[in-house]
Amino acid sequence: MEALMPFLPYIFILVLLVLYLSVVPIMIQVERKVSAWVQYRIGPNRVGPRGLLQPIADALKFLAKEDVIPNHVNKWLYIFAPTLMVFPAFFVFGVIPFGAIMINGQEILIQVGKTNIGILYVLAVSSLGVYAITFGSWASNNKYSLIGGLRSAAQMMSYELPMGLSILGMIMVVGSLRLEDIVRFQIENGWGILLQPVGALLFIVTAFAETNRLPFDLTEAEAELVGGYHTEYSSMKFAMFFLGEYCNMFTASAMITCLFLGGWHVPFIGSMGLDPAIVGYIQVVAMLMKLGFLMFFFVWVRWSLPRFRYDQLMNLGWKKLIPLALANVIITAIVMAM
Amino acid sequence: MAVNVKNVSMARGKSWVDLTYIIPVMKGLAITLRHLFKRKLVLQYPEEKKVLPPNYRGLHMLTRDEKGREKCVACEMCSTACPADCIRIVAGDGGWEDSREKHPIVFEIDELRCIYCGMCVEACPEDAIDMTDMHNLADYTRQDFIYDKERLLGVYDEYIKRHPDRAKRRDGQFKAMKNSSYFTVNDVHHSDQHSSH
Amino acid sequence: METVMSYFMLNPAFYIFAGLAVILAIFMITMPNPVYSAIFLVLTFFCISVIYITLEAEFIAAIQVLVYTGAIMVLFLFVIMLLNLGRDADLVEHSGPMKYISIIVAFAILIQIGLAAKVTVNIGEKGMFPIEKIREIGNTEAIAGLLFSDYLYPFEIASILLLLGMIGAIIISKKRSE
Repeated sequence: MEALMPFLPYIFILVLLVLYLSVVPIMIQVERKVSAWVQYRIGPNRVGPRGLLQPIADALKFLAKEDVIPNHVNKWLYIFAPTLMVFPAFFVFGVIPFGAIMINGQEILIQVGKTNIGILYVLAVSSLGVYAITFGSWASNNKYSLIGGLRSAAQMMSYELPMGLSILGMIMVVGSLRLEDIVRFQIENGWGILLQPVGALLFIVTAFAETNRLPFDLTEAEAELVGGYHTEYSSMKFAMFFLGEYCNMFTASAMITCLFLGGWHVPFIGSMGLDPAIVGYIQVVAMLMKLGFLMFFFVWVRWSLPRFRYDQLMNLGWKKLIPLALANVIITAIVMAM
Repeated sequence: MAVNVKNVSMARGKSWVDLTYIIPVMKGLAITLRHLFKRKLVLQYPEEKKVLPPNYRGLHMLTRDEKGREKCVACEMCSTACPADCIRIVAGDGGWEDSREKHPIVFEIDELRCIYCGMCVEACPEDAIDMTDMHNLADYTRQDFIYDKERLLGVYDEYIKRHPDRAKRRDGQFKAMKNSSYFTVNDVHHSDQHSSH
Repeated sequence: METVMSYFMLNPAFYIFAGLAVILAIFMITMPNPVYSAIFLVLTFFCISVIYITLEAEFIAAIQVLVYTGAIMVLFLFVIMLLNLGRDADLVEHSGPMKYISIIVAFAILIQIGLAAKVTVNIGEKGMFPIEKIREIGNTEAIAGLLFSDYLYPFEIASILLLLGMIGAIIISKKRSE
């Protein structure tokens, strides 16, 4: 154990990378199953026991498919865009704390990158996600794609503002930008969703918009735009866009958990008198369970709510969410000053 | 104006709690969550098959009489009744020794043209053409979907193999009907009408 | 002087990303297609933010990416794509002698910057916030402390300026819709 200590960050990187990459196939399976169950169907059940090997079949299908690059596209950007989709989501994941475990009586945070600007870093990197969609749509040289891309750019720009403002309330309460500090604050003072209910609600809504999930998936609105920005994509490049979408979902879930659901905290576990080493591992599992629930929540909402109309989306973003977020910040400031 | 336009105002009769959409969204989510655990309404097709009603209109068959010959007398009533014009019959001499005046030399049904309305079955005076519950037809060419006489008789053989009870019952029904006064009364009625004109 | 020099010596990342930034900036101004130019500008911003990180100015690095890369350049791209400046010929400049004069001026400025940098390195005077102090109190806290005390007036003036811009945009769009 002692010899492993210097390699601990690398072990964390490896474990989190494996976790991250395994989340996507699991989520695709969950999405297909939940969508089926909501609609009285059974869902994929042919490949493997109860259809559990379906994601592998999907992946193989994507790899084996012909990789079509249409003649009218801008080749370099067309190839570049899907890779750009995955990388911001992966980058953000590095700063998310998964729990604190005890090794040799020493508390070690399961977190790859320790920065003192935590949330700012997350906001900065996740704002790059829009480039993948914009470039992909422009390079496709297709009107549906371009409309999808422009919609996405406008949507993500509009919802980044209320997202930042909704976090601001929480940052003011905690007084730190570090995600681990925010979680520790919540362990002592109660979960963020109780301290900042409006902020939590706004953040969850904007997280849906930022990940382009229903009810905010205006970018791909099948009924209007064929497939939106990925109309011209096929094979593994198409799969990369999907990979990016699910990675973004996972990252958004992790952010919601850390900011408003107490991170790895399990209520009342301190008063149970358990061994702190065991408590550490239980809390890591709790964090993963919270993440799992939020991922399910994303899927659940997708199959419950209809898509917004574009003007409704913009109205909601600029006329309702931003004033609400500003009011939340001001009220928080007044309460803190009193 | 013929169309009744109903103006729906979001704000009317709703409290501000409803207008935040939090509670309506939660209600919607609750509905989908309930549906998540309900019984599934799907048949696993190749393994589980839907039980079709006895009057299901699927692929045609040409029925056989007691001697194993086709019952058809090539009267062409089915092809006349057919709205899709998918039945082609070429009649031939049946031979008097078999007490049949006519019988079909060629009897073809284009199953791709057919609209499965069942008019041919209604029209047939001999109960020679009937419909089965076979519906999963598949072939490689359009030509393969033109069923000739032998194939249609083969369909009958296959059908009674699978539903012996059903074949017997419908045969018995037909005989009973033939022997009853139903046909004769009708015939008399027809001839009366003709004579009166 | 030693601290500054040794700091740069220890950071090959600075040289890599500084060089990359220069190369990408050259690509940006030579590309005939405005969308390519925008992409290279984005990458240049990215390299610059990495340089900020090597200088332990994490807050500025994040803000650089958040504001310039994440927001402003997206708007730029938006405009470029909507206007569809596809014709390459429009972007080739035919400026004649001005070109050569500008090259000379550019080199003059470069030499000036170099001289200034040399002087500063030689003096090596420490400001109010040397790297040790920033490490102690934290990057964001240091900036926030200065911004809301010594530089409060410039900060407020800048924010009022932004507010005016926002109100102006609303007035312009209102007039057009009427």
